Amino acid sequence: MSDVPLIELRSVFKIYGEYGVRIKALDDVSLKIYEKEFVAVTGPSGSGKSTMLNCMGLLDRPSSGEVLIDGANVNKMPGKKVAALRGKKIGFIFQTYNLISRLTAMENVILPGVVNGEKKELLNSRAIELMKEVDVLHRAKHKAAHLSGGEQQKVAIARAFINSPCVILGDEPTEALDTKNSENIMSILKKMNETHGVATVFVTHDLSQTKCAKRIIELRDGKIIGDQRGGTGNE
Amino acid sequence: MSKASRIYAWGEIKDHRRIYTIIIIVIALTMSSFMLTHAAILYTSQVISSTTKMALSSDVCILAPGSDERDLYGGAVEIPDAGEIEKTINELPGYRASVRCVLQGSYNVGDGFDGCVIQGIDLKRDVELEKIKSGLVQGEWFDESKEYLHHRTGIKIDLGNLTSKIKIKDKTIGRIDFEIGNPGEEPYPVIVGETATKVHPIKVGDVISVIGTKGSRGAFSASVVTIELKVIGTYRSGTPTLDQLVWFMPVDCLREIKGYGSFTDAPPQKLLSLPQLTDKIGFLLQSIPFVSEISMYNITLSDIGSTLEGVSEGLILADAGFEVDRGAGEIILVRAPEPRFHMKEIAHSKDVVNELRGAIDGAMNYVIYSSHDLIRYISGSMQDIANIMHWIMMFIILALATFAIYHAMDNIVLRKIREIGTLKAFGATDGAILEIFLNQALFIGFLSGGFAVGISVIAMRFINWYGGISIGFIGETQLDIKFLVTWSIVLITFILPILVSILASILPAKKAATLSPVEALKKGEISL
Repeated sequence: MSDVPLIELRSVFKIYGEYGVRIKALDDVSLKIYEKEFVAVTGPSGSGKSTMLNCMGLLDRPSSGEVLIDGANVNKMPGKKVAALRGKKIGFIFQTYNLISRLTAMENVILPGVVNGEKKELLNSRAIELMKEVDVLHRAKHKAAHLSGGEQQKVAIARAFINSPCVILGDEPTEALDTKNSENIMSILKKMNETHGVATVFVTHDLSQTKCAKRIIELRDGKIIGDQRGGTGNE
Repeated sequence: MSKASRIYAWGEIKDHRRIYTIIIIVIALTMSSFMLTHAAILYTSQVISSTTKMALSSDVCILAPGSDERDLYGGAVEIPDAGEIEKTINELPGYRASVRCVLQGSYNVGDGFDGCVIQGIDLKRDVELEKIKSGLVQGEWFDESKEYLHHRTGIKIDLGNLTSKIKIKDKTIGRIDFEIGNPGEEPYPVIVGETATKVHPIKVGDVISVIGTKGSRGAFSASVVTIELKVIGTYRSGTPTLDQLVWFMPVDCLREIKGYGSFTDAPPQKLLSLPQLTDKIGFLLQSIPFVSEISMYNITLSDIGSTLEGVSEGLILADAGFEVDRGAGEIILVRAPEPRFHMKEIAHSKDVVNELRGAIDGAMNYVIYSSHDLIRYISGSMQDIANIMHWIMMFIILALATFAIYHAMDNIVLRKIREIGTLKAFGATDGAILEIFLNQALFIGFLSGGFAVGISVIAMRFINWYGGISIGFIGETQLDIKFLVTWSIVLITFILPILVSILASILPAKKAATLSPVEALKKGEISL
């Protein structure tokens, strides 16, 4: 394992202010995510889980503090460079899948690659492999709108891996699914983490899902109140 | 992400095809109507242009110093040395020139008078002779071997200088000539415009009494002449309005009528006493419209008599031998060498005018109009107004289309906010998002412009195939609506929708592009 963390948050604050009210969504959060880690972020609603994930994924900029991706400080990077870094290094899995309904499953999977200017032939063959891995290849030519929730999330997982990122960030990836599909998705994520060696960080407030994580970070009121390593990673 | 954004943008258009189809149709139809109207206006202009050249002028007209465009319709002052100028121009390589005379007249049509402009054309040399001849639709052409002259056998009563003697509406009439041009003689031949025969009960073979105004514009004289004209034919130029107004007769006849020439023998002169004068005036007053004008102001013959008090005598000329000055006239028409009708007609016209100014002695004093100047004078303002109104209407509709595109695009941005957030999460830059929406605008613009040109071409072909549109005009004449398209209009029709859609899309596109990824994803979640 490399000594350089893939993602590092250094004393990160995120403060929202509206109508004179200041809310500290993140309060002096420092964190390092390394290669191949499978991390669950938990905490009650409003504890800052998603905000932290957004800062880690460069979707949002912290109010203060530093964010480093693969050792590079992104604070002073221009927006274009941040966007490129985000596209190449980070894969996202959203709670509501965020597939583009008029595109087919295959088109959705290759979309991040297209955005990053990769060749379509290469993307297609990689997409077939990924869809096979998540067991959704048989639906490759179907429109996203015609897929079930579980299938949509599988497509979203394949999509997150298409650019061979170093970190996958999942914001409550099973929240919209039933128990069976949730378990299925979690096992796919776990399997992909092991197969591809890509660090995975997912937010959940379902404690049962933390069982499969090797590291559990707990947040409350924007602060990290627990960071447990050494889990088996087996349910 | 250029290619990807194009593909994505096309997908967006397909996704919102209903609203985009409506917008594209509105813009396409607006631009199509613009192109069709413009093509019809252009065709009309060309008709006016060619008719003007045929009926009134040639490439260039030369008038006496101090004249203006109105003088082309009568009232022009005689050009000094017209014959010499004609000769000089004819010696220039490729140029042809001929002198014309013009007489403004009015004729009785039963319930009132109507006006006409009689153009005297040289039956051998007139530069537009063949065109006028080819327009003959009824009757016969002038006998080119015949002179049709009467050696000025008319009666002229010259009341002498009456300054401050006769006032009409506070205006002093300085001098009055009353003249009967050809009493008891063979009428002068005339070819009238076809429209005049449809509007009024005039037909080939009729003899019409025309009262001509000989007085030039600005002259200190009210000089009228009554002449008998025999309609020997009718012509059609293609523009009914001109065909009602412009008639033709041999130029020498008009020279004789206007008195351009000299007496071969001393004309019998007779001094008349005041009672004889008033008696003669009384006779003439029966046939001229001037009388009704006087009676409008309640001036009677006795008033004239008393007004003439102090004028003891007048002059009567009759049966005098007269030799026409065959070089005299008020307008010199010039046919310039080729190229005549091409894309640079305006520039060519200017070159021709400049060349003539260099060739004619004292040319700076003469008024020289190119055909382009005349067309601008005849139809320019009407066309300009039509064009301005047309452009205003088009811009109003395009402004509405711009608003429609803006709102549609804004709405789409709002609905697509989550997709925008997702794309940004995948690494799409602000520029890439902007590109997607501007590409949509480009698609809309291209499709609208393309359809506009296509619809116009199909409509024009269909109308022409169907036989064109013909609308009722003066009398029983028909005005054809046809089309003439220029590349500049095709280009405007195609490019304007593209500019409009880009303009309308800039703000929504910028709004979409500058959203932060997290903001877009959050708003997207809310809008779900």
